[in-house]
Amino acid sequence: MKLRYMWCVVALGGVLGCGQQESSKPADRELEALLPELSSRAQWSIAEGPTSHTPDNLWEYLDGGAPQYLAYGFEKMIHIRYQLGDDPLASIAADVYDMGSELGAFGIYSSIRPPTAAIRSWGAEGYRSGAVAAGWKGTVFVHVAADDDRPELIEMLEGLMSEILDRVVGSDSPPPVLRPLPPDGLVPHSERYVAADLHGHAALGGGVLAIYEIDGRRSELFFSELESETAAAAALTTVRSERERWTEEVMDHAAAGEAGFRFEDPGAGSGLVVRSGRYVAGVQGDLPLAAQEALLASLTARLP
Amino acid sequence: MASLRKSVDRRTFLKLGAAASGMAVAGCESSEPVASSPQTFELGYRPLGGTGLRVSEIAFGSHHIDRPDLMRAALDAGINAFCTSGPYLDGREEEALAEGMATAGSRREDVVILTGTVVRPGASTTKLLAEIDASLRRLQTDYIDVYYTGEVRTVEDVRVDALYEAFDIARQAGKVRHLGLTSHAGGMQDCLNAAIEDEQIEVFFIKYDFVSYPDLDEILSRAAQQGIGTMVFKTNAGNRQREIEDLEAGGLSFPQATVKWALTNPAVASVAISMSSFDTIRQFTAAAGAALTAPEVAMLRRYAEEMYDKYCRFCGECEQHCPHGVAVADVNRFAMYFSGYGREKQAMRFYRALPAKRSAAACEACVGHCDSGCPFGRRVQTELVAAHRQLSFLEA
Ligand code: SF4
Ligand code: SF4
Repeated sequence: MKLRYMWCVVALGGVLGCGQQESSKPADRELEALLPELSSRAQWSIAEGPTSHTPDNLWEYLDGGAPQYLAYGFEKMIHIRYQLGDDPLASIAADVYDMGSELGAFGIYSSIRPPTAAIRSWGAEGYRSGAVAAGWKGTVFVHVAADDDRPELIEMLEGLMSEILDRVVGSDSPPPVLRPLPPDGLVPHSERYVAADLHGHAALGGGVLAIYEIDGRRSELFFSELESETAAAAALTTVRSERERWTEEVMDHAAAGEAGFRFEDPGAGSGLVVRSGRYVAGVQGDLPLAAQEALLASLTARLP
Repeated sequence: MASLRKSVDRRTFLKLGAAASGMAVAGCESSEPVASSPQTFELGYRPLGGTGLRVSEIAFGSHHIDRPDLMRAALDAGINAFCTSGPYLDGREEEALAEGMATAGSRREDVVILTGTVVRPGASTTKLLAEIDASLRRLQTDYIDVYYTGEVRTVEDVRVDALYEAFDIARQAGKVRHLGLTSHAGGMQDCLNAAIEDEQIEVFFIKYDFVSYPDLDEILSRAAQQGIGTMVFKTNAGNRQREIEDLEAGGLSFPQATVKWALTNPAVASVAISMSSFDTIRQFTAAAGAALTAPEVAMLRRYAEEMYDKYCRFCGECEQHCPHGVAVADVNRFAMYFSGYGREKQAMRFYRALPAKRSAAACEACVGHCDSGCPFGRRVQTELVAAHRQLSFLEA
């Protein structure tokens, strides 16, 4: 079920498709239908858009960010900018993305959600951090940014988030891929789905990670599903060799799972990595070794 | 005749592109394969224009990357240049860099930090100064080596008074050292030319590849003469190698070859790569330390040929073939502003500002002489007809 990493097909043609008009495909209209009417919002007008982007030309809109969106399965987006009165510096840009799957929408949302952001009940989940807000529901991910945090802009920003995500038809349950995460000690809203290079290891592809806190100490738990047990064993070997090269100490460790190893990282703390069937799973952080072992065992016991 | 002309022009374009970038086939390439063992590479360092900074030929592009362990690994591999940003990931990129530097035990003076934010006309000096302070706090440092204005797309974006005012105040306070700009979009050359003319920007951080923007080498060379340092990204010309069968046969790596190609230009100090894995760090530091090989040159040529007619370079070559004097490159660029960036009003304004006879009004009734004048084989007339309809919508 998980999204596989896709090479970012960042297009020359889309960039430069001179004279090419963005056709208003039915799907674009569906995204546009999520945008609220402005009739109830005195003094607000549309300053730009809505314009649409596809995988071919997304990178012209997102400076450097397109590969991440493509990796999460991006299919299309619309961008619109609202302006208050005639002040060009009192505007709000709203970007509505169809990520192609619920996992993709949750994935991109969770990858940008700041750990300390105030969580809001927009759609399946949303947050606001200063003048930026984001949320997801179904296959839709929404990102809205105001020019600054003046009350009138924030009021509009929050209203937009709520209205857009209320109109999305789709699931607002957490993606099933998160189910193996043990509930005890899980820091709320810390779960992430990563589309590629889990924990910095290309060999793992995508996977899940989440923060756990026990007695005031934290660690990150992660797991990735590979194609087969053989592929998982090969990935574990690669992860170990990369840790041997880039971290200070790596040693065998007979923890839960098979062929596990332990490593010490001067910054992120110690960690354990194991294989369990076709999964590679690990934990890293400040938790004592025994707590890390218990957490990892609890995870591997819940893996399908 | 047409096909002969086209193939000659293709070769000419590729050769010119190569020569202009210092990719003298006899001088730079080697038939040796690229080193893949971590022991065999040697990452070089180059001066960043006249800034006095020396940067590793590969820079850590941290867009959407908040892993301190990757940043520490990059430092360990000899990478000293880190390109990050304030707004992305709510500042977590900058925080991760601070942590990576701390755990690596790096001395601040051994690391070159580029960071910045998007600054648009009408921006406030106070707000910009607050953003610089926020970046310093997250980076846990006293100064930023290069502070850039991001996503510059138009000449107006280059000439923002608040940017220069805020930068001067911050520089006098010792918080920033050099001013840069980032750009990657169609109007980029105009922005770079404006920045060269204004003599305020010291570092370009831009898209650069082996097929787009044939005039970019000349611009970068002029910038270098003026002491502007250039770092580049997106060297892979669209990353569409998977669409070309067996392009990377024989163990070649298209992304690595494009990086090596970019580094054959002496005006390019460093190539920023998005370092999302340990393996990326290994691969690209190895690539930078190895010479471009003949098979890699052949691979890049093939890619350029197969992607040849997929996009407009705004070179204006076809304009010589137009009996009506249509400003094809400008019209195409405005059409891109319209449909690519959602700047409809601005695109239409630019189009209206063209002298009437330079507009594409005559194209619909024309036989399309320009089609044979595009060295890249584009269907110019068809595109111009669509562009005219789009850009003159208000007048219709
Ligand atoms: S279509 Fe005709 S009028 Fe238009 S640019 Fe080409 S040659 Fe000129
Ligand atoms: S259409 Fe004209 S401006 Fe565009 S690449 Fe071809 S010759 Fe150059």
